[in-house]
Amino acid sequence: MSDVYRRVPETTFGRVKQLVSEFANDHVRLVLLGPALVSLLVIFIYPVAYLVWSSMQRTLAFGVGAEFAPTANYAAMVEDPTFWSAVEKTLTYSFGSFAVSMLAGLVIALALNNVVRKRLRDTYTTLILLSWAVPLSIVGVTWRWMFNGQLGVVNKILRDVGLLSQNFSWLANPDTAMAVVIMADAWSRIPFATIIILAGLQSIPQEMYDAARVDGATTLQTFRHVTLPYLRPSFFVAGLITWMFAFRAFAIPFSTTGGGPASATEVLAIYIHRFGIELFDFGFASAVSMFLVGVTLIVAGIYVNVILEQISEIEA
Amino acid sequence: MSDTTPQTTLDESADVDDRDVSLRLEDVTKTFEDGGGEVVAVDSVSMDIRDGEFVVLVGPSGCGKTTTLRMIAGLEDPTEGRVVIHGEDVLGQEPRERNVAMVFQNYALYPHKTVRENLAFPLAIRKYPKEERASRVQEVAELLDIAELLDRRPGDLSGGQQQRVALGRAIIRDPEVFLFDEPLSNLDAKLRIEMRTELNKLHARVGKTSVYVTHDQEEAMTLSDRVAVMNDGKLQQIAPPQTVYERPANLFVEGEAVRATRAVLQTLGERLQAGDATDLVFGVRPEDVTDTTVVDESFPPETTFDAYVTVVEPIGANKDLTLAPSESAPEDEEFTVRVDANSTAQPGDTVTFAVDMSKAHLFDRATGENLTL
Repeated sequence: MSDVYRRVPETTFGRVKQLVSEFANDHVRLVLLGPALVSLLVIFIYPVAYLVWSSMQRTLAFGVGAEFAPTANYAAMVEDPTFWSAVEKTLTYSFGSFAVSMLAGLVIALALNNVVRKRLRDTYTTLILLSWAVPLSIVGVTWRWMFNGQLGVVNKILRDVGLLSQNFSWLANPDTAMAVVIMADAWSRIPFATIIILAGLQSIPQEMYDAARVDGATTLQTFRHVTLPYLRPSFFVAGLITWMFAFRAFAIPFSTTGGGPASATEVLAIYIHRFGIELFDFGFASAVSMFLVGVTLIVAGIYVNVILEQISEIEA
Repeated sequence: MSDTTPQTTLDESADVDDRDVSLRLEDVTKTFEDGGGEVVAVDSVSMDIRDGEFVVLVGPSGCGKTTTLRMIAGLEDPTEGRVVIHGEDVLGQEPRERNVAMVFQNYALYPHKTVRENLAFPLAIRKYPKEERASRVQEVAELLDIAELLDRRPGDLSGGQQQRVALGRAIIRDPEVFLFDEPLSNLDAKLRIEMRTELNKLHARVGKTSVYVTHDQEEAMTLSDRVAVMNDGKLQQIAPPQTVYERPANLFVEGEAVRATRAVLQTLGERLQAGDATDLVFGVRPEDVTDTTVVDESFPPETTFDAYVTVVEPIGANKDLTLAPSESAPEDEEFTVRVDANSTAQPGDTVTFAVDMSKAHLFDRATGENLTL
């Protein structure tokens, strides 16, 4: 900007105004990104930094006061057998939910994709999405009552059809309690998996199906050689996100079983909650949270690379 | 257009006996439901295609040519009529039972399989032994000059290479009939012409019955033994390319399908036909018109006309002149002629032109039928 052509404002206010507008013009990126960066700093970077710092503090008497001990909480975590038990339960829970919701999502998406009339298909899709709109804690409470030993509808149905002679306490048995929370979690994730997989199905060119038919492939062979390979990227995306959410799940197991019976369904998020919120051991809870975040980030990183590879293979 | 079946009068091979016919369509009709209404995509198309013949279906988009091809492949079932391959009515048979191979516009290669696996796929599906698969893949790869690409994936290949692989996947099964659905339309102009020549060579070597769909008239003319011109779901004419060019069955074939600019010269039509000339359309190809001022020759007056020159476009060996009946004539009465390069006509001139009457045609205005055949 050349000074020759600049009209110099006469008042002080005018000069300030001009300086501000010139600054905004010359640093437009800063002006546009600034607010977003600041909010990111406040709501993300600061809490994460605080978490790191907090995980290095040994909490003293009931959360009042702390001393700096960078590895103490991590050492305690690794040595605690209940931590490893929570890890094992988290893996069972997350992979169980992942497997059930992805399989159901695939089956439902394939069924939806075969509905020829567009309006009917859209109606079904919307209906399936409805369960997504249910808050997770409501899902948990609903499933808790459905599987309630005395009043639950599941026991009633099973007794009515003659599969059970007397009430069974689903949530009092460690194995069935785990199965119930996994099913509840999967139920809430099926819509997401379905939508992503359905979008993947609809992006497969009709020509590929025609080519496979002319090549002589049967329906099953077409599924194996056309549908599945094309579906892989969307399957991976849906799978990663489903697993990541299930790995960090809190609302559903907490509202269904609260981690019980005993600690049979105490996944890491509930374990963290117990130590941090109930026992005020913030340092230890922070260390376990770091573990949870770390594992999630590593798995996500690997997965994203795999997905990008898959996508470039299909698209190139 | 005309309800008569032009191919019976113009198809010089109409008297072939049954044994020579590789593919026969009998009154094949296809209608689609379209939101309550019915759309006739293919309207009672009949044709006999002989063993080893290369027939090109040509016409504007939506004329039913692709639907016809898909019915031959078995990807669509005709609403009415029969498809006969080697004497066998294949109606209701799946594509895999028909022994046809198809090459698609977007190649339709399996993206996650290597070129080798793509080529071998139809054989693997049919449970050919491993050794035979390998030897056939090698054979086809050499034939198509893609041997060095065998371990690559389709994503790493150029469009032309992908199309070769798609061709290879069709050839490898040694099918009775090859079907091509606009296979060259995704290639750039230069590659398209190269592949066209290659297809010609390939057909000469493989010699199988082929049905080829395109909207490109040049492709139709250069590749085919016979051209089948379609419009509005109906077969307009099926004949060798030169016949289609020189003796078009109707206005559509002459005007649209072979991309010859029609010179509609009402005055000449009137002179030729003493009767009611408004029922007739006079047609002559641009190159069958001469600029009389630069030719030392006298023309009978009934073959000449005067026209106003609006545009002159030299194209090397010739000049394209855009003419109008008079200076004030509306633009839609303009037409193009192709005269010798030594023509001195300039925009704004009124020049006397002569028509080669032996190559001119008269068409019925109502039905479009060629009356001079």
